[in-house]
Amino acid sequence: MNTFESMVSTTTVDIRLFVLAMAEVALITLTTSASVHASLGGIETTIEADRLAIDATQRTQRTPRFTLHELQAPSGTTIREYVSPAGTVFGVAWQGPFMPDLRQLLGAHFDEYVAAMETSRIRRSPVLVQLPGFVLQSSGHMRAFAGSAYLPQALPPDVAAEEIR
Amino acid sequence: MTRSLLRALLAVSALTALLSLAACGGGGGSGGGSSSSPPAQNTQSITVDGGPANIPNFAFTSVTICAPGSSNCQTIDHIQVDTGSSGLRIIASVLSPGLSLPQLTEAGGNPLVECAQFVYGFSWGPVKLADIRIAGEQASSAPIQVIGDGSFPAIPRSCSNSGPPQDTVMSFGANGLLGVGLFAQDCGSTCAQTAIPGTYYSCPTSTCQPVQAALAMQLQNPVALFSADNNGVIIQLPSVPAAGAPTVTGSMIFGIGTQADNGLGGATVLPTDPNTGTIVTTYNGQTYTNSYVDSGSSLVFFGITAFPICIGSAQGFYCPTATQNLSATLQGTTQTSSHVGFSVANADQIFTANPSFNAFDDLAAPSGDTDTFAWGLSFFYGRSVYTAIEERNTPGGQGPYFAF
Repeated sequence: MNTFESMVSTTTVDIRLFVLAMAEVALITLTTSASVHASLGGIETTIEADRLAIDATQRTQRTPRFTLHELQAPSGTTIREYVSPAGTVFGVAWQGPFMPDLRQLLGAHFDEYVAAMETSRIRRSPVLVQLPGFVLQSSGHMRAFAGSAYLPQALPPDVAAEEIR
Repeated sequence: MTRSLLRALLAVSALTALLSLAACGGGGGSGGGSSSSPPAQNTQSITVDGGPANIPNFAFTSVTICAPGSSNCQTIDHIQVDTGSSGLRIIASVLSPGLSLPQLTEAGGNPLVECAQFVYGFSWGPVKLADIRIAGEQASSAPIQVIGDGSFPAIPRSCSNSGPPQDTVMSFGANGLLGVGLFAQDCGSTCAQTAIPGTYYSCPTSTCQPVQAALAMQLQNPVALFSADNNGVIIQLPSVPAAGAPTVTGSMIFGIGTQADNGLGGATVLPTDPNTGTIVTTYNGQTYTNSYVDSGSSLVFFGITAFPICIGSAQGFYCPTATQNLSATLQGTTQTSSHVGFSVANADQIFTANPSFNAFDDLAAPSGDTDTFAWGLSFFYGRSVYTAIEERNTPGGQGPYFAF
């Protein structure tokens, strides 16, 4: 903060820097508040909150049909988030030795997922939740988990659900 | 300072005791007992009867746990037999108040508490030490998890955010879980090297932090700790009729090729990936790279829309209009493969015909993806299924492998 103040006071040319710095502060505030909102169904910038939450490295791959953000957690679990050309995160997938923070990734849909499983006569086995607006599948065992979730209504018309993996 | 030093020393001595026991147990030896003593009684009865939550195709057994080195013991029934995990976990509410098990402390001297991640949810509870007795075998001073123990009520979000809680007998579907899988510990070297959120925690007070857990402090596959018959386990269940059966009784046999009753016979050995425990299944011209054999998964799980999904009481199961007789090929990391037949019946009709039945060899459900083919308990009926522990020698080579 001290560096910031001295920087602003030195020269008038630095006003541009000041504006940039303020924009940065705004961006940080945005990502911090975004950490309560999840990526699935959210805008592309919410992925940064997911990345920070798990201290992951990130790789981005842009294709005409969607943008893929791949987050690599230090634990070895990989998370892939799919963003539509309209800018919505329409799918997330995970694979690795440990389960990801699903509340972070699914947001409001996390509670739908938990509620859907309470009535089942299948336990400790692969999970498939198929609701009108939300689909989740999860399988594996300790040391090897994999799963995905997507929003059927947000799926771009030329993307198949099986591609989210 | 002095107190924490003392606690650290205690933890180290407990660790040393564990390590020496593990060394005694033979890490890759023949697994046989000493030549002078008679072989241990290595067979334990298992039952498929629905259990406390009326879940089809859960295999249960009884386990006796004792305060370490004492005759203060309790036998607990309806512990689910799980070849897909490692370690003994007990729901706190079924433990007798008189059975006082010592709390394990991590290297920093604080209580060690575990978040066990299952695909269906998480289980939170402290790691305590107990002697585990099954049939004539014993795992001495083994770390076990006491799920839902009231001493650590504040569950860290990094644990609870992985799914729904599995911390009561009803939500768990059993009084506990006996993990006799491919691995010697539940987490392994990753948790020994790094503090991983969602696994082991140090809980000095109410706030718990992820912590490294040395291999010997992690939950151990009890079989790996036995003094003999410690290289794996065989699950034997009889065949069941197409309509199912109300109750089925079979055997869990400890050791592979260590006694007259646990030879490999003509079983095909399928070595698994040493890190993930997976094999490959080929079905209907498609390859499923995330495939595994797991007594803790109740059905055969594959595909997304292979058959219609049930709309009646069997919600989530497959409901083909007529029973489908199918086949698949399972292959491990070698060229050896095994061709198996299996059936998928209409689960709605099966449940409606005999609402009190609990054991079925012809029920399946979607895995929900195109990579997973899980061979759960439906697959175990009418077979002897071998699960060999990592790095242990057997007549079929070193584990980890599945054989049947």
